[in-house]
Amino acid sequence: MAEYLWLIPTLPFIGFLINGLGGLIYKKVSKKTLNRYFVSIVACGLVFISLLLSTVAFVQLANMPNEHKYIEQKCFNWVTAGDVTTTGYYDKVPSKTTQFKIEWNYFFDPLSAVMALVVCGVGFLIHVFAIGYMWDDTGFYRFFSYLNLFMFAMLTLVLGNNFIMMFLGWEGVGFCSYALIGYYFHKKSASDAGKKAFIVNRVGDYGFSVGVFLLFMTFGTFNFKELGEIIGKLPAETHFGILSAVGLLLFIGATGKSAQIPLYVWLPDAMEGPTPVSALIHAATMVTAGVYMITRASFLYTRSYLSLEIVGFFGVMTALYAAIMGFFQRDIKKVLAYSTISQLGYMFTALGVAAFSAGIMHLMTHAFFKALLFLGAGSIIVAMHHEQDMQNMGNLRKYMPITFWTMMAAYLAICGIPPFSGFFSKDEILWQAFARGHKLFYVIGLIAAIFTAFYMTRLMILTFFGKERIDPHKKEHLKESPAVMTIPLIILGILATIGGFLGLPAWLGENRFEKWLEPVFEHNYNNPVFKMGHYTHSFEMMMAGVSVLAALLGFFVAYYLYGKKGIVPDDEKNWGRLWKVIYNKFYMDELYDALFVNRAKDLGNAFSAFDQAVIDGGVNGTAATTRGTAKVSSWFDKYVVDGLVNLQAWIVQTSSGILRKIQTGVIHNYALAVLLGIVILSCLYIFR
Amino acid sequence: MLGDSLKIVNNILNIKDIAAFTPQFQLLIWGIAILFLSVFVKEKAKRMNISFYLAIIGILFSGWSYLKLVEVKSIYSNGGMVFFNGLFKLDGITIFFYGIFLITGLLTIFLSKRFLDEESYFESEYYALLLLSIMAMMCMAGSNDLIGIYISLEFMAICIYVLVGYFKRQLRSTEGAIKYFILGAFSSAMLLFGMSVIYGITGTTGLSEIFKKVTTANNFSEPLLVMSMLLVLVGMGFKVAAVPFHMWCPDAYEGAPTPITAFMSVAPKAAGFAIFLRLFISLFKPITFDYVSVLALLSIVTMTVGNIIAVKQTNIKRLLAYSSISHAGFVLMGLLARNEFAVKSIGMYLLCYLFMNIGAFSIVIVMRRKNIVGEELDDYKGLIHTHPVIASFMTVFLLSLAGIPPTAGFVAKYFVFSSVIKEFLRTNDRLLLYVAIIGAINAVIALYYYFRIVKRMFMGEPTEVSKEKVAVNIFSGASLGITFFFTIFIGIYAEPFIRFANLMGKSLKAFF
Repeated sequence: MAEYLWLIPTLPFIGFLINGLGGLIYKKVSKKTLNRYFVSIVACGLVFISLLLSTVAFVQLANMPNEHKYIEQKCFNWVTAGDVTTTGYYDKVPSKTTQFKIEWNYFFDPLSAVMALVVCGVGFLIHVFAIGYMWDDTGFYRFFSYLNLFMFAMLTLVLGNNFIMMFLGWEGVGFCSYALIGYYFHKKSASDAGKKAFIVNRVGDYGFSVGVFLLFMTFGTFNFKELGEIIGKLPAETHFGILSAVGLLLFIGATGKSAQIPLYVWLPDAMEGPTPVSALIHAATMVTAGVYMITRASFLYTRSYLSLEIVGFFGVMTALYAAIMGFFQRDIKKVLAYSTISQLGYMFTALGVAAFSAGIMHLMTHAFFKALLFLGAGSIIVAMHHEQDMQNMGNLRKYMPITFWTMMAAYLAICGIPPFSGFFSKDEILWQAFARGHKLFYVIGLIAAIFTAFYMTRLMILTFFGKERIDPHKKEHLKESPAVMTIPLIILGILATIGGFLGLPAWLGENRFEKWLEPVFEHNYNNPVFKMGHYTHSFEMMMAGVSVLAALLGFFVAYYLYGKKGIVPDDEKNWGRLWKVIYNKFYMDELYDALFVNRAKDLGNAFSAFDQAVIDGGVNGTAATTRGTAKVSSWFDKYVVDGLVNLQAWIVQTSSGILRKIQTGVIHNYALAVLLGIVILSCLYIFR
Repeated sequence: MLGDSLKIVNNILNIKDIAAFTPQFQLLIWGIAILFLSVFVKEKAKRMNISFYLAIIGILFSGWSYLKLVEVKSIYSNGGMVFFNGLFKLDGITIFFYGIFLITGLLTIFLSKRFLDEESYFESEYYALLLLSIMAMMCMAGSNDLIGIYISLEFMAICIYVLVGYFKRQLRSTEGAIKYFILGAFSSAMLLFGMSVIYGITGTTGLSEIFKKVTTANNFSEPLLVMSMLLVLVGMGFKVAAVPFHMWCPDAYEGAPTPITAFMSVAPKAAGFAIFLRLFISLFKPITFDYVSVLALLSIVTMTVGNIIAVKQTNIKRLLAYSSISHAGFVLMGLLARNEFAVKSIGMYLLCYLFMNIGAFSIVIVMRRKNIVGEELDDYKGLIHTHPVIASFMTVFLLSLAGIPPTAGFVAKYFVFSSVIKEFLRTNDRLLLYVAIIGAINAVIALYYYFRIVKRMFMGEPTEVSKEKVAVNIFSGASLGITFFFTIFIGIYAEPFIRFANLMGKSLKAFF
């Protein structure tokens, strides 16, 4: 029925092979790099076909009845091995013996549809933008092959029908992220940032894999649909049980990939990569993998209040904390990085209050406006010849009108000004948090919204308004970017503006987005705890007004400081301790260094020091007894411990020598050996 | 007159039998064609090329008829079908081993081209004998009769004796061939003796009839049957080079042309195991004497002795010869359990062993250059610096032979070990546990001597020999590529191969 589904991830993979392997071989053979037009057509064209195929699948899905919104394509059994006995889930699910099986099947349900369209759509636009951005780079083919490989991994993550395929994609995007952060590998900061991202993610991946194994141990399957059917029948856990443990372990994975407290530290550094990478991987798609994963496993999370509560708490704290850290950054990409962390925090808040469709809705609108912001920043960076410090910008709207107007749309969207897309999705999250009784989450979220408006207004004023602080040399070449870069900006600008109308709040009409995703959450709704409180539409409307007011408050503070008083980043230093703490990100990196990195190094040193001290103590010890013991122990080591080790090697070596001598080369002896064999075999029978 | 004789022929052979035999006929025809052609083409280089291409065509045609046979699932699924009045049986085992022989044959022919070019010595019976020996092995795998087994086994052996002594002016080659021949005749005598005793007991040579007689009538003498079984075991143990019947193996391997060594280390061994499956899983089942423990001992001794001697070898062909002895020990592990999984594990082991072993031999062949033998371990010193691709291919093959994931060798070892452990858990027979433990120890020893080569390649300083240019032609490149690809591919995605190997288990189902 949908035999083309496997093509959606595979096409970018083919692009990776053509550009990556082909480029490598071509370079080896002809000492030239692959033609750029060829590379761009292959890379973008294949992603575009994937986008078309996703759209076809989407249309097909939309025409299906609500009870059966599910397309599956069985590809092959990846691994089938021996039987496994599961432990079972307390007395609710009995233990059973099943075959260990990992399938390679793609499936397409409303949630995958949204993700696939976002990944392919935004991915395609960013691919096109990257043609312009990377044109002068020598590693053009290398860049696009990584980008295509990333698309393959991300689409496998999104379209796989079981946790192992998801894990494969999860690791795949992690690898591509590592490769692309360290794309300028000759720069030490870039390769360090790549390593940091990889290692921090490893901590999360560990939690994720243990969670998946625990899930398999308990229920004996990796398949989402089967797990949903089994777990969907279980009651929610009131105490800390297996489901809570799995939920928390998976969430550790999500904090790594989606940069939440405490594993967010890699994302700001990841901005060392080329800007299209920041837009695609570190804003629009990869970092939302955690949100997708928890939504996919919503059947599990709705059965463990504890893990939901923790997800929400960490989410809302990250939203606030990252927004504060974004206050005084000077690097335009760093501000956007912290803003990404903060927005991801909102998504996790939504998941934490079991408003899954609101979280996915924000994921989608965020993909539009954040990709746009990053690409806009990229457009500025290219025009300014790789200048990223906002101190040296200002009044750019005169030179780059298209970039300015499109970024303006994204700015209004992220601040939550109606009718831009961000307003609908963010307000929905805040409203759901309030209506489902998490008043604390609501208040913190609202404060974070004020802060968001503040730092975003600061960014806009410092780059596009105010006095020109541009280096005169750079000013000569300052001009709007070419069409290959501005057209993606314009398309994303339109999406960022109108994207929110897909999910209108209840007081404006029907929330079509929520309706669309409903079949995914069929297992969640038989749980009365997640029912919303009853509020009138006018009250809901008033709450939306409050959100807008919060955004305006942040805007006015920033406008007063940066617009009216004309403060520039250099002046902020006079603000003393407050500035210093926030600018240095609460010294979190230093704290991590002190707590973990240096402690790990210390541990190594301590072991070596301990060794030294003990051996030195043995050798230099004044007491004769100490010396004697050391001697005995060294003798023991040498003749008994080493002896045993060497004995084995000696036995093998000597017996090899002896047995080798049997191979005399004289044929009578060979025949004798055969005869002896017969005799021995007969003896075995006779004297059995 | 003519009509009468046609009628007689028709009674003996009907068209169905011939259809079942097409893969063999193809090989026979093309093999004879090569022999004929060599009479007419005088120029050596031309003769060499023509017979090479004819051999490839022969294998491909045979493979094509083989695939046609595979398409007709109804013949070989469920116990199979007999032809030639019960002389020949087409079932899962036959189909599986046909595949093994044809792939091995094709890879060997690919490798031979470059080798013979470098040696600049050619006789056209080389390819003809190769094709005929493959044909004989195919008959052997499908034999359902003691006489059929014996004749095809001898046919195969004679072809290979000649191939081992192919370099008739080289002492090493002739010596290996003579030794192989004399010992082979000796062991054949044992085998034939055993078979004649079986015939004496039961009065028939057909395997199905023997099995029927032995199970229904209980007035036969068991010691006599056990004796014949042991004699057959010796004969077949010789063919698969199980210790202590392995003595011919290193000498013959070292003396033979290297492509033939590669061929011998896989195909005749696989054919031997086909007979093992036919006789020891099914035919001797009624024997009350616990001959499985004899096989277990044989397996232990084979892998241990093979491995231990390999440790001190300095010639890579001899090293691989001993390693192939120990691999035979691992395959024997699969015979210790009588169930579908165990039979599948033997199939998987042979399949994986085919690719990794021929891969390793391909490297040895590629390393053979004009004036350089390249067979000493020290010739591989520093290869990673001078020939990185060849060195990394070799590393993968050696890793696979040692059984490290994610290569085919790991899958192979996984299957035989789990079949033994499963059988141990079922029967609680301690001996099986010991076999598994000794097998694991042997895997470690094997790691040591395989890594002696890897260490030389990666850590040694490049020598004159390893600096010498290596020319890989298209055919040896293809053989390297195929073996490399499957060595990795089976390690990652073994599912289709497992299904292929499972054909055998299905056809032996009646005996479990």
